[in-house]
Parts: sequence; structure tokens; C-alpha cells
Amino acid sequence: MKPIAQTIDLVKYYGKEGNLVKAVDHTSVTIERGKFTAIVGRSGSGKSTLLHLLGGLDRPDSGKVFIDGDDIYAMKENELARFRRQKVGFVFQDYNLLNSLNVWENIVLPIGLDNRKVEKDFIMDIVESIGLKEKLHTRADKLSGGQMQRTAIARALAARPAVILADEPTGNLDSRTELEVMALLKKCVSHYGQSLIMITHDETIAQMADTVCVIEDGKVVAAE
Amino acid sequence: MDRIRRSQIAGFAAAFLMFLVFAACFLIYQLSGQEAEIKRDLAAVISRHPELEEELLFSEEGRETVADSPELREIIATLEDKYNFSYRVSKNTIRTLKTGAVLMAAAGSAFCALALFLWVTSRRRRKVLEEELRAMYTCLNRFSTGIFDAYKELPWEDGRLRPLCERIEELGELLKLHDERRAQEQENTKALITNISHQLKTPLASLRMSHELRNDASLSQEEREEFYESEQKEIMKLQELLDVMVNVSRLENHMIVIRPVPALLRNTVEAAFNTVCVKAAHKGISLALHMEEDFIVSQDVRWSTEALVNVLDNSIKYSPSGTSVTVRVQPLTASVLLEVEDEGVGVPSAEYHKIFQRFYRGTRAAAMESDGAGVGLYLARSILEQQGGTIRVKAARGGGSIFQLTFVLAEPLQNC
Repeated sequence: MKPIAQTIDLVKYYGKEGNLVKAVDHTSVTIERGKFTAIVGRSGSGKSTLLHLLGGLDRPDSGKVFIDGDDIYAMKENELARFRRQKVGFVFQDYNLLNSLNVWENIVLPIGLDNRKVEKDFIMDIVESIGLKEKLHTRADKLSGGQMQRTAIARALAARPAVILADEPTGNLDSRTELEVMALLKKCVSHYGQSLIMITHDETIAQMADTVCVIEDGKVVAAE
Repeated sequence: MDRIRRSQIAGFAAAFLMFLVFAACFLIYQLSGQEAEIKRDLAAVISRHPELEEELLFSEEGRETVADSPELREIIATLEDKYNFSYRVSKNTIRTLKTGAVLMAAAGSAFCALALFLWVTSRRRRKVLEEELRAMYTCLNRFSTGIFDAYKELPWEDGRLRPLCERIEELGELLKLHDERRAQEQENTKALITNISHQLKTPLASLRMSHELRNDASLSQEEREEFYESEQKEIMKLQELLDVMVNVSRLENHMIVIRPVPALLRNTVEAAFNTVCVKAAHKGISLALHMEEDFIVSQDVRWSTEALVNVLDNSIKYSPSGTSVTVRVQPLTASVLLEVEDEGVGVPSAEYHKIFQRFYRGTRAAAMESDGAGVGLYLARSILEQQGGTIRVKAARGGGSIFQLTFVLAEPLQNC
């Protein structure tokens, strides 16, 4: 079984000499399949850059990123875009839902855009376990924060990606909703065997992951 | 089978081509002989009729118009009669046949060369194939001796055996993974045994000491009773420790199966309170419960109680006397939140994700209490997660900790 994600000597610097920012500095991490991994670090520690590099949203200065065994930066731009659509699910802090669409439409939109068949039973299963069944026909802008993030999680799961990348998924939620969304993410990992990588600055959230990677100044300093 | 047939066909084709080439050569040889004979006859004709030399030679070069006068035709006819050979016809036929034969020979040779080339390349390919197979054989042999990354030496070319190479690679990785897991489990078991024996040593030593001292004849009745009491305490401690250890090892070896069913949460909370209330009272810690309504949650009551007891135990153990431990229950959307708040030593945020690991003891906890195996919270987390719930810790405002436990509602509320 290959690891779901792996970086080898990954480097990404910003800025010029003098005020060079070493966002990711010779980082090699291996992330296990079917696990919930948290990457925790203070703001500015380079964790967002690392997540973007893992998701193929950016290009590294040097080093390699393997997702599900594929060297993603050996791909051409259009191949990488297709790879991202099919293999990576994203959950962001600000949900990125389309307000004019309802919950169901938001969930199935990426699948339709990718010209794939919508597996209705599978998606209804997700919707039910995520507690959105009654809200399916509600427009996204009529939802609460927790419901929006649950919709975003359902959208990420529905496309059956190899890995879900979550960037501070509970950043805009109150403490109680945060706990619930985290419980949901955890449940999805165990229920669907999904691999999940989440970045956060908050140890209170990170402790719920199976594995915690601590990152400081672009380097992984601890993984347990 | 297919391969054999194909090589047979190739053999026949090659033999046929060779035959063609030989036939063509033979034909060329024969025709050349005939041509020479015609030339000889022509020379004979010219020597007898020198006056016709020009016409005959011209006619040989094909300038029919000059040589085509009726007289000449007559002379030639006479000559042909006399020497019995048809000059023009045979000349042209021979030339056509000769060209054909030469072409055939050339084509045949070209085909032969092509066949040879194909044979050489297929031989080379077979050699490559053989090498690949040998590499795989070596690799599999090395697998059986425990070298699981031997697959890295497999040929990486895109040969016909590439899919097979990939399967072997996967096999190697799988073997490696299993090997690592086995080693990990071995380490785990070792650590478990070391820890258990270490944890058992201290209470056992003090038990033995007090047991030995109690038999001393010089002791007063009062002292004897004191020793007896402390012995009983140690026995209790040992019993508790063993219970937890047994649960941990059973959980780790998947001997405990947690079967969540819909059940009322209040019963679980009350059962847990009943278990820990004596200990709390002993330490002068008051327990409080704020639970306005009851919820049906998905839980295995016995193990849920065990989890909650472990969390409460932990809070009681690391709180000074005179403080209180408060439990609050409130609904979330699809789950119920149970908070256990204490006024104890608290957990530094860098240790948040570690305190739920097996045998981890927080720095402050270790400084405060010498006994404690570091398994209670680990057990609680394992149980809760197997029920679809979670547990986490955060800092309480007063300096203690809040443990937040979630249970999945059997019938989720949809109105949040």
C-alpha cells in the first residue's frame, strides 16, 4: 500500500534575497492512506503553502510531490488540472459555495463539470450521514455556517477523491459547531476510508486527528 | 502455441524466398548462355555478309526504320532460314526474361535481408525478455529471504512485462508494509509488557513490604491494623490497574467488540457518577451534573460508562481537594456534547494531542501523581471513536481542563 501523499525534499521560497521567506524548506513528509492527518503550525509557518503544494495549486521551486503514487509536478498543466479535479477534494475556511444554487446542486456540480455520472445512492448516503437531508433544496445563502461547511464537506466527499485537503475548515465556526464539523470529518475518514489532510493553527482541533505533524519555519519538526 | 506457429510460417517463407532467389540466379545463368549463343551466330552471319553488318547491328540497337526495308527483311529471313534462329524474337524475349530475373533476384535478396534483420531483432528482444524474467526471478527470490525492496532493481523500461513488474512491485510494497506493521506490533506488545510490569512493580513492592512488616512480633495491634489498611489500599490499586490494563490489551487485540445501540445518555452518566463518587468524596471533590434533557444516543452502554469513568477519574486525580468537577450535557446538530470541566492542573496546549496516546503521561500530571499508567484517556478515546464520537481537551477559564466528549444522536436534529 503506497502512502496517499508524500513530499520529497520539497522547497518553496518567496521574495528575494534580504527578505526571503522560506515557506517550505526541504520538507519530506509521508502521509498515510485512510488516516486523518493534521498539519499544525503557527500562522506563517508555511503550512498553507505545503497544503497548496500537496493539492497541485502551486509549483514548488524543487522537490517532488507524490499523490496516490503519481509525481504530480511531472505533469503538464492541463494534466495537473484534470488530476486535481479527479483526485483531490478541497475544503476551505470560507466554504466556496455558489449562493444561487441549492445544497444538492452545490454537491453534484463538480461531478457534472467533470462529465462524470452522479452516483445518487452514494451521495444520498453522504447527505444523510452528514445531516443535510432536510436541507437539500435550500439555497446555499440561506444556510448557517455549520451547514455551509457540511455542504462543502459533502461536495468534497461526493467526487470520491483520493485525498481531501482541508485548510482551517472550522476557522469561521463557533466552538460547538466546530466540534461537530470535526466529528463529522473524523467519521467520514473511518466510514468511507477517506484520506484527509487538514491544516490548522489550533492544537485544540489538531488533537482530534490520528496523526499530528508539527511544522515550524517551513520544516516538519515532529510527527506523531 | 501462437509463437511456434508464427515462427514456423516465418521459416517456410524464408525457405520459399531462398528458393526464388536460387531459381532467379539459375535463370539468369541460362539466359546469359543463350544470349552468348545468339551473339556468336550473329557474328557468324556478319562475317559471311559483311555488307549487312550495319543493318544487323542497327537492328540490334532497335533502329527498325533504317533496317526495315523489304530487301533487308528478305535477307534476314533468308539468313534466319539458313541458320535456323529467330533473331529479333529471341533477342527481345531474352532481354525481358533477363530483366525479370534480375528484378526477382534483387527483390528476393531484399526480402532475405529483411527476414534476417527481423530474426536478429526478435532474438534481441527475446534476450531482453529473458533478462527481465531473470531479474524478476531474482527479485522474487530476494523477497523470500526478507529483502522486500528488491523490486527497486527491476528493469524500468516499458517492456511487454511492465504490468508484471508492477504487480511484483506492489507485492514488494505490500510485504514491506506487513513487515513494518508486524515490527510495529511487536514493538507495541513489548512496550505494553514493559509498561504493565513497570506499573505493577511499585504497588506490589509496597504491598510486600507492609506484609513483611506486619509479621514483626514487636508491632502493637494498632500498628498492625494500620499496615493491614494500607495493604488493602494497595490491593485495590493493583486491582484497578489490572482492570485497565486488561481492557487496554483486549481492546488492542480486538477482543472487545463495541456494539453501539440507541440508549439513553442519562443512565450512562449516572452509572459513571456512581462509580467515581466514592473516590471524589475521599478527595473532597464535589461532582455536579447539568443535564436539562435526556438524549437517545448511539452507544454501547457498558463501554460508554467505562470511557466516562476514565475521564472523570482523570479529572479527580489531577485536581486538588476542595474543587469541583462539573459535567454539562447539551445537544448539537447530529450529536450530543458532554463536557467534563475540572479545576485541576490543566494540560499545556502542546500536549493536547499526546494525552490521548497510550502510556503518555502529561508533564504536569507526572509531577503531581506518581501512579497512573497513562491509559485511561487512551481507552476513553478508543471507545468513543468506535461509537462514532470524539473526545478532545481544551483549557478551562479557571486554569483547569475541559474534556469535550461527543456522542452521535440516534435521531439527528435537523434544525440547526
